[in-house]
Amino acid sequence: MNIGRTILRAAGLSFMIFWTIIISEGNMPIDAFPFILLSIIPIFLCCTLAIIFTLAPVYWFYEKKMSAQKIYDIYFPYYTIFIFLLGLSAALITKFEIVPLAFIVSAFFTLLLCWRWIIKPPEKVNYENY
Amino acid sequence: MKHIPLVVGAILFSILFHKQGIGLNLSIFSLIALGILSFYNPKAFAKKSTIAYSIMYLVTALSVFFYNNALAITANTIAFITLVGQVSEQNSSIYVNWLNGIYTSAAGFFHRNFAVNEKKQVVESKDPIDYLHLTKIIIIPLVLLIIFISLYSNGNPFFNSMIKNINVNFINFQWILVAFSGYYLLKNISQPVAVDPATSTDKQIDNELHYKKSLTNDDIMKEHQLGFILISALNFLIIIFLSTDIAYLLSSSTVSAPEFSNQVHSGIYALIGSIVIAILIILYFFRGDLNFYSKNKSLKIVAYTWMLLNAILVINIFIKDFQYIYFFGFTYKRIGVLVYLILTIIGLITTFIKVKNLKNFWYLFRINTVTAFTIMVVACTVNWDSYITIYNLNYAQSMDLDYLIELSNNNTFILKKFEEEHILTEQKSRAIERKYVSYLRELKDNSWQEFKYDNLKIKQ
Repeated sequence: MNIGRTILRAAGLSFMIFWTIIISEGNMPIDAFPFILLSIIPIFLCCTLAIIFTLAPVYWFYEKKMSAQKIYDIYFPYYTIFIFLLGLSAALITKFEIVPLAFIVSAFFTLLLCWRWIIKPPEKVNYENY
Repeated sequence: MKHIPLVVGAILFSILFHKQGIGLNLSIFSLIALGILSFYNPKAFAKKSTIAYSIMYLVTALSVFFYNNALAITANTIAFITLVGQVSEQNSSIYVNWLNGIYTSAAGFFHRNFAVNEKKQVVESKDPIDYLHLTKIIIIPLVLLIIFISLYSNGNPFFNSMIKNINVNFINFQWILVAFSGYYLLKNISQPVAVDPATSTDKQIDNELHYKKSLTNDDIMKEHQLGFILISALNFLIIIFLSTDIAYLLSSSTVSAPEFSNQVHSGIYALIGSIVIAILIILYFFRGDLNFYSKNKSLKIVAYTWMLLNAILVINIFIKDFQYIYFFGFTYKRIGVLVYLILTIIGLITTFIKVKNLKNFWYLFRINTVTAFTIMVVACTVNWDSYITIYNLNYAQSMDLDYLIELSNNNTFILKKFEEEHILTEQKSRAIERKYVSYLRELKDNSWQEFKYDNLKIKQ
């Protein structure tokens, strides 16, 4: 599990999804561009916290006890259902306002894809070729 | 070719929901979702249970069009999840259907496409997307359509003017994003997936109790004695409670609203406590070997008696609630009490069946969950605001007009008619008029997607 690489990819993806949704609403002033760039910092922090506190512990705890397939099969559906219901509740509370909705959607899809990235182990060097 | 219904569905999804409120669009989407589910999963729709859930889903979709209230929308969403879960696995319990339905709707695509390669321990894409084919099926028909449209436009002036009148200004970047969301949702539900091991475990558990002989004869006898003494004592207590309560009910002729409210609500709290403890105690004693004990007849009799006494307690609260409604009219809280009492009676009946027919805990859980779901679907077919208003205005001994004005817009026309036919205080008349005017404006501003039954009642 390469956690640093996963956090970087997650930050990049959620940045893209978040701003795609916000920009789709229109009325984005041109001088907002520096703030868009700066937003990578809080997005990176959110991704780091979400991955370190929700995804990574599952693998750190179970990686020696069961295979990647088993961890994925057992925990991915329940994790997804939990995140989905949490996101749906937040969207209802915020009455589907565009900014919270963009945050929720980007968080949801990023976390789902993180499952795919995070269980990919570091590639082993095949010494037979040397 | 298999993508075409999904692409069409996605375009319709965006047309229906982009920047729109809820109305006719949710009802039409229900038909689209049902169409997609049945198109991709015809085998699942051969089952009677799937057809039953489909009918329930359509009923909630109609309710959304007719009443457009929170209950109808909630019922429609839950019915959608239930149906998707049912299509994923037809032999599972309803609560597992919910689990499968939520998971499929949220991440069916991820589940299907990212399986783990067990040898490499790497997640890999199972079903590579053929982008060339996808481009072909979109671009080629689009180009041909444009060519033919221009040809037909030249040949027919009426067709030409019709084509010129088509306004596609509503399509923008956000519209396309909504269409993508629609595609994602429809793609997810097109091949529902099951959450394991929850689904497979649920399928293995039946509703019957099996003799395990986990207790010795001596232990069973002791447990039987304990159960008999405990439930008999509780029977005695509930008889005293009921006798004093009925005596009080018969002796007091006039009761004030707060007193009535207090009686009904304290009765409900007592009932909740009593029923929950009753079912838990019965579940504990009838959890295993005691069901197969040859001398358990006396215990069963006291258990049945206790269920009967609890049913009488429910009827007692029913009477109080009906009296309360008769004097002071309907409110959502009083209807909620009635629904709770109906659920309680059903809970007691199913507990009786569990003890009598040697069923296990899962039987109770399954049947009671299906019952609660069915009651919710039936409840959403009733225009509660309208019935509350009609009853309170015409039959209740006294009523709170301000409460009726604060209800949803479903009672607006009834209130307006009442205001026209009766002399009310200026303040109340003005409040009704304000509600009526604002609702009329809302109906007139509705787009066709937000259209609802009340739109048909007004002259455009």
